[in-house]
Amino acid sequence: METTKVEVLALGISREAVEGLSDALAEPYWMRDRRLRSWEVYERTPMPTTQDEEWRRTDLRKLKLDSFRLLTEAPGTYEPEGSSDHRSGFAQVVDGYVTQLELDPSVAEQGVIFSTLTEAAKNRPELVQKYLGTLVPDEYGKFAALANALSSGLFLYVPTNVQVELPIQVSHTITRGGAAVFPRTLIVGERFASATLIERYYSEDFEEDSLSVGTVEVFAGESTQLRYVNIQEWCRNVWHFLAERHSVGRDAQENNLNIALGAKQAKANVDAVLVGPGASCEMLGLFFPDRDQHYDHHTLQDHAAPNCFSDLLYKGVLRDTSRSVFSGLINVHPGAQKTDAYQTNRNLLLSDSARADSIPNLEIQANDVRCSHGASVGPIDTEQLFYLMARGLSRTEAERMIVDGFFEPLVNRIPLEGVRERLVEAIDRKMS
Amino acid sequence: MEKSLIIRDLHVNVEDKEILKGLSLELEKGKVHAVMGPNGSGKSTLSYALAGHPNYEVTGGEVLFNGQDVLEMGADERAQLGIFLAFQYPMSIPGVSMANFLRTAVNSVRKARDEKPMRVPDFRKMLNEKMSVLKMDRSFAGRYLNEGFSGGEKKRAEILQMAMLEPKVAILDETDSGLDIDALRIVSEGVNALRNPDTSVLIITHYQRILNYVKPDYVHVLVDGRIVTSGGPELALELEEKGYDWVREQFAVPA
Ligand SMILES: Nc1ncnc2c1ncn2[C@@H]1O[C@H](COP(=O)(O)OP(=O)(O)O)[C@@H](O)[C@H]1O
Ligand SMILES: [Mg+2]
Repeated sequence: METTKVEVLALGISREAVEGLSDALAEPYWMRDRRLRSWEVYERTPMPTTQDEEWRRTDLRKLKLDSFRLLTEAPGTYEPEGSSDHRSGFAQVVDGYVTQLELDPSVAEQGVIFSTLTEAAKNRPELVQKYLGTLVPDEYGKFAALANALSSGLFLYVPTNVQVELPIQVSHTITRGGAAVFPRTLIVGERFASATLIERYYSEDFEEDSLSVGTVEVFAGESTQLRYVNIQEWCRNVWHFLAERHSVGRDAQENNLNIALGAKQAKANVDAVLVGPGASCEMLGLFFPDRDQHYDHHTLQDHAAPNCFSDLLYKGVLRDTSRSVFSGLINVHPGAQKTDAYQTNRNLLLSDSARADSIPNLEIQANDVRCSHGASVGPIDTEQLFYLMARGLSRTEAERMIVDGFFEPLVNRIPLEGVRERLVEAIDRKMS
Repeated sequence: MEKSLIIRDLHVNVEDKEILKGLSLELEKGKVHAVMGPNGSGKSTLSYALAGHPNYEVTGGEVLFNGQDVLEMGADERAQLGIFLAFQYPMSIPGVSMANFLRTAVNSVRKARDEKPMRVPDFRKMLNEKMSVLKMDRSFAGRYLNEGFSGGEKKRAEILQMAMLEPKVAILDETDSGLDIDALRIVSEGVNALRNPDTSVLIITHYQRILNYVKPDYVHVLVDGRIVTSGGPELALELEEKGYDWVREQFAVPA
């Protein structure tokens, strides 16, 4: 598999960078045109402020967009992670460059495409044009427009009736401060297909701030089963933005899981649009900020068709002076009768200085629906803590046990053993 | 007789109100002591204070465990020394399985004694043995700690924890209340199984009933924050017959 190598780019976030990127990727002209149009939208869209409802609790004034550069080259290839026998495919993206990309040949033979978006735009323009940017258009917001102008990334396509048994893994990393990356993943499952993609953002520590503006678009076609996992483990100097949107078709089943453990400030929008009758979507989220980390999750369960089911569970534990915001909307369109939609957000505060806001919302425009939402924010129960300590557990062990127990019903719902194990380890690290 | 726990003139406040007003009690090794008292007399306050609950403020007196002052110790240290409280109202901890919890607890206590963590197969074996004594189904081990347990199940689970932790001083706070006769018998067997020359058992109860199954060596009567009288097993029967008002009159405690 050939990987694309961008020639020279050390530009700040600018129109020149958009053109330079497009040239370097040697993209078809229509891609370049799209980027430039997105850039214009980006330029004329004002930066969100805390006056905007969605950004009320997340302040961007310290974000200096002109301090970031798109990097000129990837610093060598990273060792692939994990063993390759438990996955169908793997891609590694370093500082915005796809440095490695592989797909099990037996999977490729069935017509599955796993390639860079650039390559897909060249080889399968009709597919890319049909889907790219339709779930996350420029109008979605300033950062979406920026990503549409500057993103590059991966395309996974699973044809009708093809089941990809083992997960495909994507690993993104940033190697230094001052970098700007715009990772993008487009996933299309046609009818009666199935696949799992596990995407991880990860970086070692660096001094200066970096920026990641990610975009994920997932299309589950009729009766297709897709599972998408996003694990955010950036170092503490990354400004993280993510627009992750899922379109779930007739009788399709989509499961998404978002795990937030890293970054400095993270703003993630996770939306599911149930577009076909009988669609079903499970949305799980787990977040654990500490020190001065700030996470803002905004979710949408958009019921646009009747007889759909969506079940959201986001759980967060907060330490130190960290901060989290969860705001979730269940939106039931007129005519989306027999909607079944649930939304739960629970937050556990490990310190008096941590703060979690939970803002559930319902907008129901149909009359025959079942919807519920629940939210809670609270400290560790001192009686539970005493009970465990009275059995010989130290305070730390007792807190860890309560936190593990708090996350357990969620972790239990993750059928991917590798993800589960990694998560348990990460929670342990956060607790120590 | 060798003492395990010595409580001298203990004063305990709860939310700035004095509940224990100079309570003294000495537990002997290998013996079963019963503390009987009416509701509100301070039985649970005594249990919590001994276990080290942070909201139970000790304002005077001392508690020595094998000569060591325990009042400065946290609840975890006390448990590690071998002080165990079977709670009157055990907490449920969602998401934490009984087995996982017990293994952590057992190993915490072992660690404090400089012992190696228990090997998983050894732990399993021990757990299964103790559960069968208490007639608990094996599935119990996989259930979340006290979550959705019936009253009787919770009490049995407390005794199971006690059996696993093999304490030196076991305090049972109204473990008998709310148990039907079969459950009471099973729980009592669990307590009797723990009896050994090295362990003191303190059964705190409102009723004499459990003492038919776990024979006490000593009975103490707690009224209004003090031990007002002590005696042999016959005292429990007398109390059952004459009621707590009789004690109040006898010992001139204002009701
Ligand atoms: N956590 C608490 N908060 C407020 N009052 C308490 C608390 N615990 C005990 N008390 C009070 O202390 C007194 C003794 O209670 P307790 O020790 O529970 O008695 P017993 O267990 O003998 O029934 C009661 O008057 C009770 O209301
Ligand atoms: Mg009580």
